[in-house]
Amino acid sequence: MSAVRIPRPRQPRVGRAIYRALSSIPTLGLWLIVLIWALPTVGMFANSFRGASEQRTSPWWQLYRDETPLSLSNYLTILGTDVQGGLGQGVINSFSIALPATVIPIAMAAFAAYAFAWMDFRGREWLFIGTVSLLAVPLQTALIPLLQLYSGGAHQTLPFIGKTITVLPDLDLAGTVTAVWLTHSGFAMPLAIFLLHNFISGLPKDIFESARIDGADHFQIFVRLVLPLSVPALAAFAIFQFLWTWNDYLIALTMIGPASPQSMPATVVIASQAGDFGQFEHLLTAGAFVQAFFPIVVFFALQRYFVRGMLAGSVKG
Amino acid sequence: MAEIVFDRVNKIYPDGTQAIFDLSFEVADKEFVILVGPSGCGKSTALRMVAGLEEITSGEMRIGERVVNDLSPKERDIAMVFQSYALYPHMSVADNMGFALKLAKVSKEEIDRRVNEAAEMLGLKEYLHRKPKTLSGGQRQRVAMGRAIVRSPQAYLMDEPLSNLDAKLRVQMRGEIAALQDRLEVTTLYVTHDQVEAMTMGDRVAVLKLGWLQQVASPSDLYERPDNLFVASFIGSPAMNLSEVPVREEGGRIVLDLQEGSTISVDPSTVERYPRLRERVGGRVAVGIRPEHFVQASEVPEDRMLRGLDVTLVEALGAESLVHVATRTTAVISDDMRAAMDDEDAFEDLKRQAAQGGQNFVMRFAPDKAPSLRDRVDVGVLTEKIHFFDIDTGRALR
Repeated sequence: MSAVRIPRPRQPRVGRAIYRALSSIPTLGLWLIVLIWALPTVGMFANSFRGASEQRTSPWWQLYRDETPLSLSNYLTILGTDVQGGLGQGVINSFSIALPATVIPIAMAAFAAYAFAWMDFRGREWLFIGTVSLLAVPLQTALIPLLQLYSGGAHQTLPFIGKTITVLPDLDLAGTVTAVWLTHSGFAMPLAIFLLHNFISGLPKDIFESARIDGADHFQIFVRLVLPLSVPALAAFAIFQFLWTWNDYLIALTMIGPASPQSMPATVVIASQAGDFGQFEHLLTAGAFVQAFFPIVVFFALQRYFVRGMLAGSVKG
Repeated sequence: MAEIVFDRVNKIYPDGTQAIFDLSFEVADKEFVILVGPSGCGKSTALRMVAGLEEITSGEMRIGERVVNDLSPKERDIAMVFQSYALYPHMSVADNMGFALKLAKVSKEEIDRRVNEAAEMLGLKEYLHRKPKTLSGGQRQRVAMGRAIVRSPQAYLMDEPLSNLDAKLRVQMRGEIAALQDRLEVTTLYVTHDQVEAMTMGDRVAVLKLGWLQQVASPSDLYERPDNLFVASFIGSPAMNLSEVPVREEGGRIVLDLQEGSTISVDPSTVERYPRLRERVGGRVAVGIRPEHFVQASEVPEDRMLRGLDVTLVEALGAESLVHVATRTTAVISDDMRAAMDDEDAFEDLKRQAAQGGQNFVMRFAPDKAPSLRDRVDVGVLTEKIHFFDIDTGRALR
């Protein structure tokens, strides 16, 4: 008997080549966007090694024509203490603002988010709606009242009796980094609670019920299940929160004020290093790089937590 | 030891819907009881009330002499296996199994010992350090079982633990769970909608319909002596063939006009089993015939035959053949039937058939005795095995 031959469908070679070319377009497009996005940064990075006159007279892609060689002098200048207290101190101040302003709201918001998501209590929904609607409060309107609160406390004269009670004592926080991170923490809270609530309420209910039967109370469920399972959400929020507190200028400038320049974060220090009429503006390129260095480190340190599938295998198949 | 007692337990949700009505039954110590019913019958709710995940509106729940109505899940000393397994995804298999013991502050050596013992029992030894996501469905299921075993609780509660497994694995785990329960001798309440699981696994089966307990009995009792139309129709696969018939008396024997031209006489032993059938002479009742109680026409007397049936489908399963025939009998259309079929489409189909003046019967034959497709056949009925129910109340006429 002769074996029956099933003709194999011929692969259209040209068609395949066209298909492959077409399917690589999205990738190419992405690379193009990356390039366009990165170009200004690359230019700034190149310029940060050039002197003031070179930066002003020729574009960065002509740096190979420079008469003075590339050097670290811009970096040495801004990190030194001779200009406005130095960027070194500024970076330290930035950390002492950004770290508490990241850790504290996340820690508190995680507890709140768990409670909103999984604990039954009266008025839970309204409280949650109230909390989230605070997102609509513009930060700028609160700046001056908050500053008054920090530097004078809060007092209320009771009507009819005429007595004044102190709601909040004068903590004398004006001019300190504490005032800055307190403000950041407060304003981060609604968004943090909202984001973490969305994530935590999406965790499978069966796991919590199982844990309750296993004998866990709310605190144990939170610490042993919710926290480890929420790491991707916590890391994502931590990155953003760190980024925008690190890059903040307005709150720091308002809360610390001109009286205590030694407490200013890097953003303010860099701005002031440009000089009154921008005579040192060539230093800004190097300053921007020092400023950007730490968020990049944070991003790369936490990015692996973005990987999906942390919950794979917990429920169902 | 520990028995689970439901004493007139009710469950009413805050929105007013009632899920459980006056549920009273008992799971004896070391007994394996299956709670079965169509979807939405309240079986999971009942189980969750035992676990403490669902509040008890009224009535009393006792586990081992102790009233547990107001105890937290933790204080009830029970273990639960979830349909989704509910494993902790970030913990290894060993940590999953030891979690409850760790929370109970059991020493590390003791936890290790008990986890190892359970892993040995379940064949999970080499997976102890793996995370759940790297395990197959069957292995995850076993971990969920192991988590219950290591605690050596007063009772196991299982909520459809096999419904996420594929058919083959389900059959295997069915046997394993039953054997395990037998060996560990722990009181077990097992919820399922799969009546095959109900019939094969438990010591006794409790059937629920829309929150009402229908019957609690051993699987064979349930099959052979259903208390009502719902149980008769729900238990058994393929389902019992039910039909509405007029009852007459002819020469001292009770006869049924099953369909035009087919009058069958009821065996005296059946009349003994269903004494109240005699009261219905002149009226109509629902008669139930299991698929295996049809035989070849030559095996029964003349007056026990259904005549002129068209074979519409033959399912040859190897060991047996399921023969679908079109009859001109009157279908029973009632809420009991609707609930038992648990499938709105199937019920609509039955209604359509009834409107056309007939319905399909399914019969079970040995392969060599089965008629072929498109045959027109006469079939014998073993009237000593048939069942009778009131049409309106659904009660067995016992």
